[in-house]
Amino acid sequence: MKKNDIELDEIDLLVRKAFCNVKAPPCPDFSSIKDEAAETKKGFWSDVWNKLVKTRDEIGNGIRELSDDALDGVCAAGEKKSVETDHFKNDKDLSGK
Amino acid sequence: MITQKEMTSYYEDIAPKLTSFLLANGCGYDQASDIVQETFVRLWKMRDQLTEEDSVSGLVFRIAKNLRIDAFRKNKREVLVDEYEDSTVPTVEDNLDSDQDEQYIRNCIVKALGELPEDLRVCYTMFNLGQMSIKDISASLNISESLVKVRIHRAKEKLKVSLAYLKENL
Repeated sequence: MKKNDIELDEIDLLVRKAFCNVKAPPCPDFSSIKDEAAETKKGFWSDVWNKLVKTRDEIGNGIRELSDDALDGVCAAGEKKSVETDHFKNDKDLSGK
Repeated sequence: MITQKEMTSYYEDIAPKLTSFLLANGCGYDQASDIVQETFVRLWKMRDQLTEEDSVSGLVFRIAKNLRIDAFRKNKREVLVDEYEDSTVPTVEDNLDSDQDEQYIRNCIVKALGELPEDLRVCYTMFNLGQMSIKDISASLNISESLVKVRIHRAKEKLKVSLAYLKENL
């Protein structure tokens, strides 16, 4: 008996015979195995989309906070001005007396 | 791309050889079964990347060899041949006596194979139990075909000596 230029001798046949009846495990159900390549692609684009939405929200929040701060500043300045004006008004009132 | 029917056909052809190869290389039956199934699941997942030049058998043995190494690393120890002697390997035969004889001979052979240096054992078991061609073994192990032949020859010479007692008793 020959295979690939190497003769199978008694030892080879003995070894092969000892394992010839080994039962293989049951065949996996290939139809139930998910197509990971497609899942990975889908997962990649969904990750990109989620990141875009997150970034948009962060930027939106940032702008909102900035404008809130700015408005706070304007309000604070306004309040200060009105206090100053009140003082001035009071002074005026006092001087009027 | 490989269809499900083709994959099942490959499984039926290669899985028994791969199981024998893994048993001969120190795996217990349960571990060998896990590796065989995991190998084919991985092959199925990468089926669209396979080309016609790829040898499915060579690829299967390469994946299984890596999974076996991973499993041994994970367990941090190799399965000892003595432990392994107690485990029974299911066979397709139901005859208890012949089953026990076969189990005994198999254990003796596994023990003899376990005494071989790993490079010789892997080449020999791929060739004889995996029934792979020299070309596929060479590609799978990334060594020359002549080195594969030399290793198989050396393994055979050593096995002839270590299994001489078995031949005399048969």
